Amino acid sequence: MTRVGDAVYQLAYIIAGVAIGCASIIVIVQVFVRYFLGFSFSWGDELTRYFMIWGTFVGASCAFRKAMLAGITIGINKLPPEVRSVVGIITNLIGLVFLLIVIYFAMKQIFSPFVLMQKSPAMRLPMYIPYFSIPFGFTLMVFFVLEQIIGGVLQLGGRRQ
Amino acid sequence: MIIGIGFVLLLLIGVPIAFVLGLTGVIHMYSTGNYLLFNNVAQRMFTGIDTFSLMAVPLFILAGDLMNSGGLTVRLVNFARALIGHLRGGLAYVSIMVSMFMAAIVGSATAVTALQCNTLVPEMVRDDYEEDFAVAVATGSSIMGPIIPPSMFFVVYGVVAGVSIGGLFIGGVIPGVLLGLSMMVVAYFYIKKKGYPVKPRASLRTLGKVTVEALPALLLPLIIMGGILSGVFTPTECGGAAVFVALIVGFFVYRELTWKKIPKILGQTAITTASILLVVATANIFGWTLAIEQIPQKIAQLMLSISTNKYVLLFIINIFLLIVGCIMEAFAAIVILVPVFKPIIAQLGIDPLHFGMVVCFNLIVGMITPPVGLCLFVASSITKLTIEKITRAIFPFICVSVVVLLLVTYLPTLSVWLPRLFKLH
Repeated sequence: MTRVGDAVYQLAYIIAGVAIGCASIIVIVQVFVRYFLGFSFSWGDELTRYFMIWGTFVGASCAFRKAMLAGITIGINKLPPEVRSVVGIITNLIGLVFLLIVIYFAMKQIFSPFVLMQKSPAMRLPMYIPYFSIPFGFTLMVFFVLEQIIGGVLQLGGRRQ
Repeated sequence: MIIGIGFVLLLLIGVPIAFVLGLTGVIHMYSTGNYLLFNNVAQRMFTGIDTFSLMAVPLFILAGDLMNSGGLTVRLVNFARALIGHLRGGLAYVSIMVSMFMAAIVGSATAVTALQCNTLVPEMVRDDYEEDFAVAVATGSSIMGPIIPPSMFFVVYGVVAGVSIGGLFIGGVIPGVLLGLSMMVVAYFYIKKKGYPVKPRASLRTLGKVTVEALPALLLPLIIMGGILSGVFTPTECGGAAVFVALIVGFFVYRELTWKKIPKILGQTAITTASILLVVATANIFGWTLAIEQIPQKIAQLMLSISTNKYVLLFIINIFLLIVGCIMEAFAAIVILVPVFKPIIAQLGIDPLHFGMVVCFNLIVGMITPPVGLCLFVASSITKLTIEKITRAIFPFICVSVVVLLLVTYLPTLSVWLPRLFKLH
């Protein structure tokens, strides 16, 4: 389980890093072109934003696994370990509900006739490409949430014996 | 009401704030009975971060990381030491000065704390400074990070409140420097009491040498400030320029940056960015809750029923924000609270740029205040001192920060004079 988790994490890490890297390069090139060559790309802003959005939603799954999504843990840390594991499983289940709701409605939206036809204003890029970042990133996150739930249950079971 | 209790309960059992915000919004959509709203859930998250200004967040994180891996910190420390290291207890001042420089490059407090605790704290300890004082100086001064530009707080506040980010950046200069100087005053009294040793002054030649070495590092803040002040760059473009300079300096001037380090730096930047922007995205779903329950209007009414005096209300808001800053992560606090306070701010005639400074200042004080002072956690995990011990030593610094906070709150000129001067506000 952990090994599969690591592999998925690695994939998400690479996608997010590349997306943010590309977004950064576009901004730099755009600044250079605008101030030294005197023109600008109409698609620069748009492409930057879409790369950033992909980086955000995919990177969020990595942030979740590395426990970097901010939450208030001060109360939880005071609980005895066994109670804490139970609460941990509950919070993960709640997170799971949210992720599944978003994935379901995001996919529904992407496959709506309107969005399938929709193109971005500057690049004429099909809008389902940037929109797909949300279900894609959140599916990865669902994977990590499940990993934590299973880990938590196993840990509880281990302690009982 | 039930949803309000649910919201707090979810937060308290440790559900990530990003999920809580999204869920609360979803539940509210459900409560309206208009299920078509659900189709917009993803759309709302998307538009929440579909803003070019937010690109400044990854760019400044990236620039800071690149500078760091490129050997910048050491040179800044050397420069500050040659400049003021010969004063009594000089290393403490050096630490505060380095925090100021780093703040002008990195823009996040925890990054500065980590750097300080890894570099200057061991040195101070070697020179027989009390370890808790050393950690207190290093950690306390690190909160200048989000006030002295560039600042992630200002980027997010600017986007949420619709205020010029460039104006906020420039507005942060005076409060930030004021904070640094006041911390030096605290350090001065402590040092005088303890009678720390005086070290010989660096020779002019050394000073010249380290200054030249540190020049590229000092260039970065100049580009950021100069670009914004002259109106040539937007804050996002400044971030791009900063990354470019950091790459050039790291690869060709200091030559400590290698291609091998780049993937890891990019990956870390992406994760940090994601953890900030995800909250901004789901907060846009949460906006529904605010709208349906009319929470901002209700809070405005409630507050106006307590008092209609601007100064009294600002004081109440300050206390409230200080408490929030002590328990909640700063970015989440900004995206949740700024829309809530917007109507009351407008009614009282408070300048939104000035208010941004007040909000961010409150939240940085929270970063060195227990129980959820992020900087305290970072410092404690690196130095292995207990949170309790650091808290005791850092208390004078918290007090002086609160004094500066009150100045910033009641003297709007401190925040708005520079932006107005340069027509950025």
